[in-house]
Amino acid sequence: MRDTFIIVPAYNEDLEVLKETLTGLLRLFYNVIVVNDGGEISLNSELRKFRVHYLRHEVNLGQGAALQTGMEYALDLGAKKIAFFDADGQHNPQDLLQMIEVMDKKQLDIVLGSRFLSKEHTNTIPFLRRMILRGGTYINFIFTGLLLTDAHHGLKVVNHKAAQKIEFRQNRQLHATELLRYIKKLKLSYLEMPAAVLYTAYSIKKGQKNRHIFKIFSELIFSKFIK
Amino acid sequence: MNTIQFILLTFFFLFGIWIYIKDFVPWLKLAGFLFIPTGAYFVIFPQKANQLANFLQVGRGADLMLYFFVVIFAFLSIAFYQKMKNLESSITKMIREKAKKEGEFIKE
Repeated sequence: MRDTFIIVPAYNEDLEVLKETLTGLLRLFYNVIVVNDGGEISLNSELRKFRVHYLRHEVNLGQGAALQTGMEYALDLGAKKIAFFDADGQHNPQDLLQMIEVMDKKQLDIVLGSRFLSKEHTNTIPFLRRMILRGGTYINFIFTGLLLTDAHHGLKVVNHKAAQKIEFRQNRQLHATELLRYIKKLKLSYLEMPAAVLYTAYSIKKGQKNRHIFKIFSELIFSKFIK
Repeated sequence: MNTIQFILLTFFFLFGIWIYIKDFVPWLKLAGFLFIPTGAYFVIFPQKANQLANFLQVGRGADLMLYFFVVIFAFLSIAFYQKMKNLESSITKMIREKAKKEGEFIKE
């Protein structure tokens, strides 16, 4: 697992939650990159106890930008596989481990997490969120020609080949759709795998709100017409 | 001359001075200098705006102005959005380069 780099974008995260996320990751993975996306707290003193790479954006740019920075940094360090992992404790490192194993076994370029492949995961999603995510997959299909089961799952793995070709130009949340565009355009092989998303009180407060759908959708429309 | 004509003409006059002394890019300066006499002309002879509108088969000069400004506004919005995007992308590049350069490996 030495050639796998996990990118954790963090923006004003609760320190305890971030530390928990990192502890969980470091148990299984060797290389973790924390990208502090212009957060107010300087993390390098707080993260002294963790064996992580630490990058910091001077101002907040957005999650897509943080992932791109982390990805370029990881490539410079010789990463063969790069994973995206949210800082808010929503993901399970075990899921990621399985995704990487399958990626190796099947020689895939990209493996995406999905909450809709297992009944058990789907049932934990709040009803309204489930409807929005369902709608999102169809909107993504219209814009990218790729129909997936989940629209905005934070857990993803890309291999070296894909990471080199992908460049997230959308700084904020549109990177999820952008990735699909790359898959389609570059004919990358991909697979969706079941991965849980834990809806904790913290992640609901910190993460995407249902109403953000309007913002993301308008950004999507603009991005289609204005490059 | 009524009050609104006086106010608008004063505005055009000050606008002209402002454009003259400021260092705008040439095309913007030219656009400003074309806008001032055209605007002043229609302020002094409002019925001419009506005539122009009728010529274009629009009822009133005021309506014509509205349509005209909607088009200009749409054009400017897109131009500014594009400009903002370009700016954002160069700022992103700068911040990214700095972040990568100053990246560190935290050890115990």
